[in-house]
Amino acid sequence: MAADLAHLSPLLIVCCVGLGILLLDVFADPKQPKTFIGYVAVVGLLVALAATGWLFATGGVLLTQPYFAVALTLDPFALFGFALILVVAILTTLASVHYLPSQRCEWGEYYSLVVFASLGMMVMVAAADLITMFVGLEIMSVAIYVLAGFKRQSPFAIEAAMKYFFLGAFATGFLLYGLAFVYGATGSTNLNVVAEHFAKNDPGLYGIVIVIMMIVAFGFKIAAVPFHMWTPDVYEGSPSPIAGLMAGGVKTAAFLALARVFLTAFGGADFENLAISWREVFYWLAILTMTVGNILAVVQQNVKRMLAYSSISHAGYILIGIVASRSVDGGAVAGSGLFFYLLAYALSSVGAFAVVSMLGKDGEEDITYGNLAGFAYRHGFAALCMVIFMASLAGIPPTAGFLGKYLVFTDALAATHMNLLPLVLVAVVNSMIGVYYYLKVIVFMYMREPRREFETIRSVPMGIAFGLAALVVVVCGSFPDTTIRWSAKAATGNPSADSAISAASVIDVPAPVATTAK
Amino acid sequence: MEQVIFWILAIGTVASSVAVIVPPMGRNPVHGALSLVVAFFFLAGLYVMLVAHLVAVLQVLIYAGAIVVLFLFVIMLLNIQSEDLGHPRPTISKLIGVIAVGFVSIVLIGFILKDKGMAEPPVGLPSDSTFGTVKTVGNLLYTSYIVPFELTSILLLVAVIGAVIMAKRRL
Repeated sequence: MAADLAHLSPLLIVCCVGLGILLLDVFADPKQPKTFIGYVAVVGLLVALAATGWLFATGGVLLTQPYFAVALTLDPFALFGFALILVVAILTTLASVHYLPSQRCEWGEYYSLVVFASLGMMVMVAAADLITMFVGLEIMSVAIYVLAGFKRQSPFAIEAAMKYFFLGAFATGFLLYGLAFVYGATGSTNLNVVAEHFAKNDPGLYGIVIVIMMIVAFGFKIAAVPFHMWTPDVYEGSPSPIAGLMAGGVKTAAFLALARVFLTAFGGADFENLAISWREVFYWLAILTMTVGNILAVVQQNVKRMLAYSSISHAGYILIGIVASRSVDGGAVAGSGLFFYLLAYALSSVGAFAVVSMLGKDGEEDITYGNLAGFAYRHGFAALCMVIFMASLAGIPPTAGFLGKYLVFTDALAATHMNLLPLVLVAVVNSMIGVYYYLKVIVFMYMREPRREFETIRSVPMGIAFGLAALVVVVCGSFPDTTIRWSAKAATGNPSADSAISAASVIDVPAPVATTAK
Repeated sequence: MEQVIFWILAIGTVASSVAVIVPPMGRNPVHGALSLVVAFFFLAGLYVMLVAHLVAVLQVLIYAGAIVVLFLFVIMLLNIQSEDLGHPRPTISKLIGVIAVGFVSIVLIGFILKDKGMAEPPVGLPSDSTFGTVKTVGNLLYTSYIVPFELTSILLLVAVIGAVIMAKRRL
């Protein structure tokens, strides 16, 4: 029991940090700036990151308490997700501390909502049970709905929050219907039990309904075409650091949860042979998402909208990693490229949005390319970091984005269960289209004279945020050995899925006198 | 006997749900909300037939009791007149909605008629006499589902913070 609590420490620390800074805000002097709350949050998240690192170094742990084990798994897969989410949350917080006062919306609850959102994401990626995953998803979503509309005085922010809320609630409805059908078909919500059941029984019509519902629900969260309509408006109206959290954190969590649910619970051969196989659906969704996202990104004039469409097209590339992955022995995820890509993509987009936050002073709704003109002459370091992020998103070496694409494509070409060559070709063509609009940013920053004076936020923590992100992106791209090793470790999955299944069988007993907890 | 009660409840649920959005009831938001209460009561009856007593009670208490009352308050506070709603006219999105719903219903009904795909769940429900009682559900909440149960408290906290942030006039 005590060991379990130590193993759950990343989650517990994040939870306590969220509650702590909420209280700190209550007792803080309302006239003083709330910057220090952000720093406290960063320190707390760093502690959680250290705990995650310790667990990751031990190679994942098994929870001994059966009621914890049925709900959460702390395998390297989940711990990799924890680390990524925590880093994204830390960078978001750092980018926010001086951004909020400039937007006149500096309320301490912001930081606790960011922390709780990350807690929800962490629960999602660690969930071994669909109910737990659902609660995690809701914690994350509710916090992000509010953060999207945090600049309450701006009509764009209200629009963003409303759109995101209604479509998110709609997607949640689909997810819940899907979960209800899973429970109806198998009598359990535990992923391992569901997988065991579907290994023995033909999913049939239930399988089709479940797959459709789940794909719609996750499609909204990862913003895959045709469920992407909300993305540009929401990213544009949200505070820029929160747009970074959505692009980097929410998408990472949703993709990892999607990978775990589909590869663990619906990874069986019977699901491949359904009239609607989820792998086929994701195959076509990936093509659609990459192409539509890229083409619409080309025509954007607003940088935030461009980044939103670029994040849509990246969802397509990540879907290739999902299609190429294959569950091994019920649970393990093959294809380490997926993890590397998520890392590269999350850090690049968080960093890019952190740089965009600099331009946020008064009138953020309209950050056009023209506003970026001559940016490099006034903010050399920020412009340099932006170049790195754009190169990484475009997939130009020596950045992590290039290597991520390379690894995902090799995974796809090595996949034996499906011929993914056409998919990879579409992806390569799309990457080339992408280079156009990413380079456009660089051209405007370096080669155009500033059209007019515009105010920027000068903030050291913001600089640290995008500086760190750029450093990691370059280091992971140039010296990738360690990161590739970590990704491979994350891809090996649960150290012993069997014991999780035996623990999960506890859940089948609805008897009131279940075993007493020790 | 059970069949008769089921059909009464099922037809009642569908009819009152349709009445929520379809004129003449649906034209007036208050009438719509009230037919929603009726639908919830019929649904509660269906839950009783499924031996889910606790869910049935919660359905009446929370949905019919609390949530619809909240609906009514909001509707009355907004004070929507029928001229504000405008004249209902067919739009392309409504057409798409009708087609989608019709398609899904036909597929589902077809499957049920064809091979009873949905009629019998592959896993038999526990026939235990304690199934669905408050005691059983409570036990499960504090054992197998303790983690999601505790996390729900965080979810509620986040929702409360969010409501205050979004709605409070001065922070």
